[in-house]
Amino acid sequence: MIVKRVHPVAYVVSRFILVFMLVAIAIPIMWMFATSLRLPGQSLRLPPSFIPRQPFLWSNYMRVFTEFPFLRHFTNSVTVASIAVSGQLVTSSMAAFAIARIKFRGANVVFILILTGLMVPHQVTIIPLFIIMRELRLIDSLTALILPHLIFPLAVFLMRQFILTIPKDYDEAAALEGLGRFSIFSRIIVPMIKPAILVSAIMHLLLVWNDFFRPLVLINSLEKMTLPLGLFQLQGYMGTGSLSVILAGILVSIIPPLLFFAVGQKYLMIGLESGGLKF
Amino acid sequence: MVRSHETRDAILFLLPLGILYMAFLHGPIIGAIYVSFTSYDIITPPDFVGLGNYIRFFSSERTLGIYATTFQISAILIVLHASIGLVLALSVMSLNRKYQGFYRIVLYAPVVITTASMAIAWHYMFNRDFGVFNWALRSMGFQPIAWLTSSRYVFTSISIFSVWKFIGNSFIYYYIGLKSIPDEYYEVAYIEGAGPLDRFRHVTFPLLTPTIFFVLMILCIQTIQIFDEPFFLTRGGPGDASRTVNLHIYEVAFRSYDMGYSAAIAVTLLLVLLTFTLIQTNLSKRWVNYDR
Amino acid sequence: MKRYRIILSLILGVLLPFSMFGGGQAEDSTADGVVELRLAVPTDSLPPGDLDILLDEFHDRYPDIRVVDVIQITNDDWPDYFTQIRTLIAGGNPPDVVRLAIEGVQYMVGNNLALPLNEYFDMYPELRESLEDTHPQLQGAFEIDGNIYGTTWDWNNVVTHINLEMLEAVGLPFPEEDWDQDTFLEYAQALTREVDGQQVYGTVIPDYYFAVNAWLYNFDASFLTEDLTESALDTQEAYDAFRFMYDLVHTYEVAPEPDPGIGFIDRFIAEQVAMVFGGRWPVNNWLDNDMDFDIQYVPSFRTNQVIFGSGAWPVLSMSQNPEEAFLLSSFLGSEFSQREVLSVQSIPTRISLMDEVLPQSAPSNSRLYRESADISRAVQAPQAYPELGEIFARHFSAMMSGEVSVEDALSAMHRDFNEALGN
Repeated sequence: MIVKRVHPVAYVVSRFILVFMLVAIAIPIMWMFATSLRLPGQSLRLPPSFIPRQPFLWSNYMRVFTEFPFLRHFTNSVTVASIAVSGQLVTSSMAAFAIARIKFRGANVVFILILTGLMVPHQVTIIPLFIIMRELRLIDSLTALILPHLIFPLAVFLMRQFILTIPKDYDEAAALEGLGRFSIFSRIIVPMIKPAILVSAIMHLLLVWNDFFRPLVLINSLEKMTLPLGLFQLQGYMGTGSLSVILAGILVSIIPPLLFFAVGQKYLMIGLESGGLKF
Repeated sequence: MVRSHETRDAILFLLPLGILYMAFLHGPIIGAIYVSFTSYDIITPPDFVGLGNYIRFFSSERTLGIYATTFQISAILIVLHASIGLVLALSVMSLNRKYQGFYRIVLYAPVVITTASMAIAWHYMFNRDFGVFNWALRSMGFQPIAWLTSSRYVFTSISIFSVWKFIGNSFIYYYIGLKSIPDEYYEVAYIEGAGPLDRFRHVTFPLLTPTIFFVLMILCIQTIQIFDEPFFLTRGGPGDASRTVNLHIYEVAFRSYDMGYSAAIAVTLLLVLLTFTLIQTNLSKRWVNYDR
Repeated sequence: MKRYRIILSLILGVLLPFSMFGGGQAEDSTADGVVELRLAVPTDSLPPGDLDILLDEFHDRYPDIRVVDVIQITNDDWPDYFTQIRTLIAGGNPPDVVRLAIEGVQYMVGNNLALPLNEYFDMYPELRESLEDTHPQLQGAFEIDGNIYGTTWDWNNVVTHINLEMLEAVGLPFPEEDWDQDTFLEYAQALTREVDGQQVYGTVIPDYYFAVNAWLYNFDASFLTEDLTESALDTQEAYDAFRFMYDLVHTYEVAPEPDPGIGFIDRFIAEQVAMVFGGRWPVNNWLDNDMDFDIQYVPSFRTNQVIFGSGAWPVLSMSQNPEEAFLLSSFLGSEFSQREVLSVQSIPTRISLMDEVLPQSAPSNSRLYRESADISRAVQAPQAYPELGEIFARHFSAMMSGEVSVEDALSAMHRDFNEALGN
């Protein structure tokens, strides 16, 4: 390993920038936490709190759960995310395998078609989607949220790239041993692209979990809402003088994605770094 | 390999994805195109109006203005994200392993938090009278700023929030790109007596071009589409100062119930995005080095 | 071949569980002879317990009818609420009865979404009789072209809410009923000061359609012409009104700049402002926070013309059980309902109740609520109200943030209003 001698000015500047970012990221969170423990009527008073001070109104957090179907929203989000992500992993991996391994005419066209999905905003498809869901009588159901999320073009892209780096020798050896196409897929390829699968799973999970727009349009009743939409409603419920309760709700709602990230970031980094991704 | 089975196998493997894409992506796109040629309020059956919506779109000062606003915001955000992300990646690279891991987590954490939730909180932080930022300004003797209610400052506020929330994205892409540059190149350069600036210019930057291209393209696509930030921070205000195209599409569809017009705006956006991507991809051949 | 069967069963296995998550679509709303109804309300319209009280009583009185679903709709304002109702209808899953304010009546009726209830009143004469007790002015909002669309339940006006502690702190007496623009400005200026490092403003400016309409009335102006067909914003009085609001914020600096996310209720509770403008609906919030307050008419800038907005529970025209829905609708507007639940929420529309209840409830000047009913004038909400609301919000924010001059913003509003009204 070469010793990289860094110019002293660059050293100082870069350290300063990093510490600045650290502080900049931490302060809003501290403010949110400290304010969430204030008396609701006081929560808008100056000076703002950054460090929690007596009294510690943990009851604000209780209120989020008791006066509001917060737990319900949480389980809704879990349901939608887990089903959508698992379904997506299956279909994406199968498609990636087909594109990367099977020689057929139009493989590139199919790949490009899949990629176009990356640049279509939700707002473009939402009206026809709404109409489709209405005809299928699925408006205001979790299914309506799950189905469109079974698509995640980035996963196909990542998995394809990864599969391309696996030497075909494995496939051929397996074929010689009498394994059929699907077995090659399930028993050889899939285990070998674990990093790509993990990265796709985490990124997709976060995407589905944080989706606000589709639930906004497709869900009406309070019980069927997912967490981001529920939080928005919380603002309406408590909209009068209860900033601290709203912030309590927000903080609770960001714990799951942070947890996913904390658990998965190791795999994320491994996956991203193991060279499967070449831009 | 039995060749005659190739196509059949391919079809079977692609079938689930294909059905889903048809039903929920390409189908709706075609649906949106169809609706854009009608006048539809979702309760009564649609009326065919041909190019009516598009003509209205191009002759509407307001809609064109909203597009302009969106491009402006997008340009600012792209510049900010692309540059700050690179600076952060370079800075982190110069740390030792342990700290690199720490900063990776810290910088990416805001990205994974639900945008909607954070935007609600930041809305209060930006408030002119009891917001945190203005309290800080006043404490230091400055005048408070109308972060969300003045067209002079809305772009600034949205940019600050956007960078805070999403800088982790470009940072991580740059970081990976930097990491994948083999040390040998640096060693050779060092042996040849190249200083840090030269190393950057001749080794780092050229080898980073694929990453930069990727980052720029992703930023372009993402920043043009922002919805959550303007929706929660300003609702598009004041006036139309921060109304992005996506916000407008939503409002026209689900506030005014003018589905046809909304679809026309949406389809146009799609074409714009496709065009940008194509242009960028073509231009990239000129400046991106793919060989290693 | 075995491989492909595996794939197929995978697909089926993935799709099958979805049948469990079917949407709440009402196929058959009658089960075992019990008629099932769905009700939609704005989220903060009633404290949760209160609605249960009403529904329990309703189920007791009408055992064959059950309200199985109460849809709470969170909204920024009335136009937002209406468009969400519309989405519900568009989504193929409409409620039977909705809470509706006057701002939505023309809209619903014009779009054939509300059911005329005359024939049901004929079937149940005792319910028609009970209509007599409602204040005619307020009930009139829900009777269009001879069709009755609901039994009005509550109403609200706009008055000035004043923080008494602050008045005392600056040594001012409580203002008179007919206080004028100059007096109001004096009060606002005296009340604007710094307290413990926090800026306190004398007043807010009204920043929502209903309250701005109230101010316009008191400036002897209005949004629209009397028949609601044209914009009336091109008058000197209208300009004066908006100019004054602008000046309060930017010239006299006695009012904070309006912010879409933070309403006057938040500010009043946070003791950031001494005077705000609303009806009876904020009173609960003041009481919850132990505030020392009282109400007074809106200043007589040019005159005193109190505004009103009434509410009822109309039946949607596509309801599959109109008769039962009518019974629910009438019950929710009944005396029982008003007496039980409208403690300090809003003002009951029944004359007898107003006379009985108001003098006994906070704040001391509650008689104003009763008195104003007789002289009040409806808020101007034609069929295009949702659009007007949006146009108003947009230009108002531009005007009040100083982006556009008051003149220009007002004429743009005038122009856009006329366009929306089809002129």
